[in-house]
Amino acid sequence: MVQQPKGPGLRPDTTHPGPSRPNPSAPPPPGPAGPEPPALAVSDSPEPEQPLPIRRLPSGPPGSERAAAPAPGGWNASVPPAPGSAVPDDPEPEQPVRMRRLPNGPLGSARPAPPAPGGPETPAPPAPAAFAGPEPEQPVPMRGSPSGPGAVAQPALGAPEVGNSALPAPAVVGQRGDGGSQWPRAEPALAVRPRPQAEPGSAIRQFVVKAHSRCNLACTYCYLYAGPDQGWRDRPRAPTDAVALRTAHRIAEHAAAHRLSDLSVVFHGGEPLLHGATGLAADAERIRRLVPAGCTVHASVQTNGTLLTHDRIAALRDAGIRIGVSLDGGLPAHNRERVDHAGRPSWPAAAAGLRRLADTAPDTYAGVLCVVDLRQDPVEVYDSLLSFRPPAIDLLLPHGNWTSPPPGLPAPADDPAPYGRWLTAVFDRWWDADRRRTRVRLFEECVALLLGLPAAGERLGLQPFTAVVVETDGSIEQVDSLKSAYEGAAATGLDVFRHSFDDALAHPGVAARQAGLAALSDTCRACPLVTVCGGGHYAHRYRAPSGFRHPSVYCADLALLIRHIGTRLAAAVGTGPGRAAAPRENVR
Amino acid sequence: MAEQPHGDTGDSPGGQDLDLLGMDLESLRTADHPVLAALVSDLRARVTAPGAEALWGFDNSM
Repeated sequence: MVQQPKGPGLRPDTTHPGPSRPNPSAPPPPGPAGPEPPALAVSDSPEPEQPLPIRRLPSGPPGSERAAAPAPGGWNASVPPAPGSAVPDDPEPEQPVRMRRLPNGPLGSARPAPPAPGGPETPAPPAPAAFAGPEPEQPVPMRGSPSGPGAVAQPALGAPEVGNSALPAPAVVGQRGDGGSQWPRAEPALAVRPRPQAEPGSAIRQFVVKAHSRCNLACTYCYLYAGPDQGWRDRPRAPTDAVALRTAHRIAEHAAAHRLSDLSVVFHGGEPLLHGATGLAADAERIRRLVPAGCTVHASVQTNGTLLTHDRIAALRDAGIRIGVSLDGGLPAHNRERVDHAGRPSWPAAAAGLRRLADTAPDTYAGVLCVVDLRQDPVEVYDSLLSFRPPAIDLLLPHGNWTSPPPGLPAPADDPAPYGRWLTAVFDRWWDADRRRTRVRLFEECVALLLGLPAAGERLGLQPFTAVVVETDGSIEQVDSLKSAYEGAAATGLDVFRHSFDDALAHPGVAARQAGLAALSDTCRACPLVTVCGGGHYAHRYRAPSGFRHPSVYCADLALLIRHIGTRLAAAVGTGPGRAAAPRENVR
Repeated sequence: MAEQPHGDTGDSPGGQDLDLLGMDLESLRTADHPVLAALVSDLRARVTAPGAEALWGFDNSM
């Protein structure tokens, strides 16, 4: 069992940020199945849903279009493997597919340097105007091609307030210390080169919609509710219909402007099921109705699982909304800190909900998110999660940074990369199985990057990060994880009533996360692992007062993990130590 | 907490460079490794449909 002292850092739960603070008058913990239990009251903050002065949205074109995207086959693909079974191989006869060849330029030459990227230290957003008046729900027509007469220049980077873009029809809006290099001795250096990167200003492809700003749990480590940013206290619990409608129109506008063939919508929270499964279904249906024909909306919800009744699962399944669940492991002991507002364990309800999901709607089951807890045995955590038959798992590092290190860091000299060691233990368990028992996103993205392939995610790689959050009041923000750094770190000053998502793309904080190598510290830029590591998760690079241009606080852990996976991968294909090297025509 | 670089391979014990970038997916698919073989099927989809991974960039959801 790996032991870890309690650290000063925050332990995030991605998805369902826990609640505000313990509430002695909180209702009882969510029960097991049964008909839709009432949403639990969770917070004591007011509901500031006051209409604000009406503003008119001027007509104006959105930003430039982008080429249509291909069909997705990612982590939330619509046809997941059957739970409990190995993911089948692609049955179709294939043409040999070669890796993308990489430019042989020096590190840092992969893409042009963008305008000096700003950090997310931006002014607090102005209060969004309130919606005033009905807005017809009409599909947004596709715009002309990027090169056609309808093409419009992309707003300049570095200008968060670039004016109001308009929706096409209705115009009325309202409102670590090192620890030394203790790599396994059999793990040689990895040669990694930069891959081509997308240009800054890529379209936003993922829209994180806050369906509820409160949570029915009060996880003790939650980076959102127990973290430095308490902005949630001033937000409505749930979006008004005006916010939801305007958000849907903005998404449709962006899909049309960039000619997106696919986009994803993630209903998030708080606990998004407090909004009701039927409410989420209606929101998803509205977005699908408004986007241009030919644009597929991949909808999902990330929940703590405690409210997953049969009825809710069925409603989400019928609405084509895939369900991801957050757990800290597959045993009660792993989930001790996931408690309700009265301090009672959430595990019984969460486990029951997850089993119900796996049993009744495996095609809707997206997978399980789990935050690494060094106090838990890594293999036990992984094996116990498998008992819930997840089609995919992801292992998240607790949010922390150089100023507020995560639990267990700075690492002791005799264990310089505890998170890397924890993760490599899980990797070996996963990698050495007789079949792929589940997909593990972190590991698979690392393999992809080592092979020079495109990758997804925020923790590894230099790919642009093009997800934005719409809060319950309509504010457009960067992802919540930044809130673990300081108050207001995720704010952009934009909102769906006055700004398009192209405006968000132009925000310096958003642009910085699309700048690839150019946004990294000198240390990272000189590192041979940079194209795989990508500097680590943006939130983990923060150091007060200088900002985010630092290596990840998990630098040692990431390096250990990447080297370990690279070595195991090389051995598996006969190019590394531990396996007889067979002549391979295509392996250098 | 002090920042120190950890990616430098200068003192890496192995010394040998591993370059995995030249591999082709078809060869990897036939590797005698069940997990890798399954994974390669997914990776092929990325090559044939580049850009789709951007749909799943947000780490805090599945």
